[in-house]
Amino acid sequence: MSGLLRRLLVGVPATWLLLFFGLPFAFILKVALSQAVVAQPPFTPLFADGRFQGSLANFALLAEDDLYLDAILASLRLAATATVACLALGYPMAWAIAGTKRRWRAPLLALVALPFVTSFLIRVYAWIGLLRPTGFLSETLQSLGLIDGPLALMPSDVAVALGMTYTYLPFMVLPIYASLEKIDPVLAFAAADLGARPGRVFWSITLPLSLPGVLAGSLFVFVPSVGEFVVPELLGGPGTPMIGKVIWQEFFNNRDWPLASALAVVLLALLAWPIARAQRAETATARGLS
Amino acid sequence: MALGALSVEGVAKRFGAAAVLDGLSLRIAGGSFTALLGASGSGKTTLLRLVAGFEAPDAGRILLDGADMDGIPPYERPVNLVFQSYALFPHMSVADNIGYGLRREGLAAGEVRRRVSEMLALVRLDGLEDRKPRQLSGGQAQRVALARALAKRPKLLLLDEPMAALDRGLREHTRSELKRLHRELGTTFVLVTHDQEEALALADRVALLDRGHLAQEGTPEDLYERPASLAVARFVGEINLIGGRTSDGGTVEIPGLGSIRVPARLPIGSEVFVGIRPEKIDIGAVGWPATVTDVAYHGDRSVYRLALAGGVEIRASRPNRTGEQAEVGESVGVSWPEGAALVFPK
Repeated sequence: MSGLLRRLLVGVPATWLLLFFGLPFAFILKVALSQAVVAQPPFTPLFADGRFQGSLANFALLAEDDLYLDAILASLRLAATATVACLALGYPMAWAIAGTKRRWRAPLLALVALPFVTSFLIRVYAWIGLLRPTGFLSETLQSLGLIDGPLALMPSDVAVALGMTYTYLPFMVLPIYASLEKIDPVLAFAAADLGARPGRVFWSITLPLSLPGVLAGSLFVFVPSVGEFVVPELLGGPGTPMIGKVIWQEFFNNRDWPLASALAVVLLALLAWPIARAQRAETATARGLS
Repeated sequence: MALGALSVEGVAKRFGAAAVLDGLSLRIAGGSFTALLGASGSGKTTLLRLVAGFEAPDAGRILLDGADMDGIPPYERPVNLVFQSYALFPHMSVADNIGYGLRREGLAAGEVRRRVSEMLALVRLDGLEDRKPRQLSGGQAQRVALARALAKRPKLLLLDEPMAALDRGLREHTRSELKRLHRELGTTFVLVTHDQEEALALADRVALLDRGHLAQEGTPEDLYERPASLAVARFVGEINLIGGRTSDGGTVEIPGLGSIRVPARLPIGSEVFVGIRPEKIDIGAVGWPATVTDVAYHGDRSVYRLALAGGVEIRASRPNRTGEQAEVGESVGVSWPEGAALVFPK
């Protein structure tokens, strides 16, 4: 491939990243360093009277008020719960699909992705119908005589974790399937030939070789879950809000753009860390494999 | 008798409508180096999978040192396999690959280490224990696969087309390495191959499979010099086949050519093929008159196409000892030692 073409091909995603991530993020960072004012726009300029006016005051405020730390911790906890649940459900699904005859795999994968044809909002609303005290689950269990009073599954953190698990499950299944499908089936025969029972074949061969998929799937679930807004808004309880909700409140209820921006920056920094870690692990694996 | 004797008794295996093995019986002596030779579709790979335990026979028995292998899973059989693709575990180092089977036996870590370095020395890969499979050359990967299978000290080592992925220069070297390992270990080696040259050069016994049956089992010389059937003669080496009819006890009448004396006796009047290996044919002044129609120069030898009377065409291969060659169009005499003519019923 010619050098020019290669530079062009690398340039397209780089430009995309710069336009739709780099520039907006630079703007958010700029706002985060300013102060809120009742004006249009609702924040002070970064440079005034020929001097830099920015400060880290908003970040200091985030550190002082427990509300923000609690929101971050609650978000991480719920996102981790959803990730573990997705892994527990998604790995066996991916494993089963990878183990079926080749002609069944495409239709099964299409079924995994099928929920995407319906609006995300409608699917989360459907969960309200299932989980609310007068909803399907509660009514059914009562009519079967299994429970006495109505079952209040929502609004609650459990409902939020359930909703996010449901929403992001395909993002776990697909990368795990992709890595399982790539494993040469002859390796399992080789392991059995060398004395490994089926369970041992899984733990020593299949699972380690599918870890890149597990890692990618976990990131695909964890990262959007931490900043999730719609699911906790619709299914969440009155307890500790998730960070996405807090950012929304700061922006639209309190009209404190700088504080909301600072919070967004902190959230990004928090999520960049596991992504960077995963990237490094991936590189190390790739180096070991090549 | 040495350990690792394999006995295959009336084994049949079908996949759907196709009978891949059709009542195959075969005995492999303990400590031997046997080649399972056959074209693709002969059933040799299926037999290998049955012996390793990856498939179960539909009928018949497989016995290893007299013990019926029926129902014994691959992870409990004293048989190890060197896969055609080597099947090294990509996420494990060379040492971990070789030690994998030993750890499954529950050996202590120190003992595993000792056996692994013993194996590395055996296949002459000392110093490569920390490499990952992707960092190995084809020849090195193959030796790791060998070491990994041999580390278990199997009674029987199965080798599935072990040279297929190696380039030509490396094959010669690998052949002598395999022979050395076999000599040093005394384990029964069973080599599955479609390459008759490889089978003849490596093995001390060759079993030729043809469409699910055993066509012939014997020494390489048996198969080449005394093929039991036309199929064997055709598969192993080159052969000229001339159609004719047996007249009296020791001759075959070739239409338009004359009668050829043959050693074997078949009922008078039966349709037969006379088979003569190209290198047994002499070109000189005496014998059947023939015309040279083509010469292919191979350096060490030349292959001549010769037209005899009655439209009979044969190929002769002669070593180029003096540099003198018969030329195209030349009239020559063609002869062969009497024992060189083989007879097969049509």
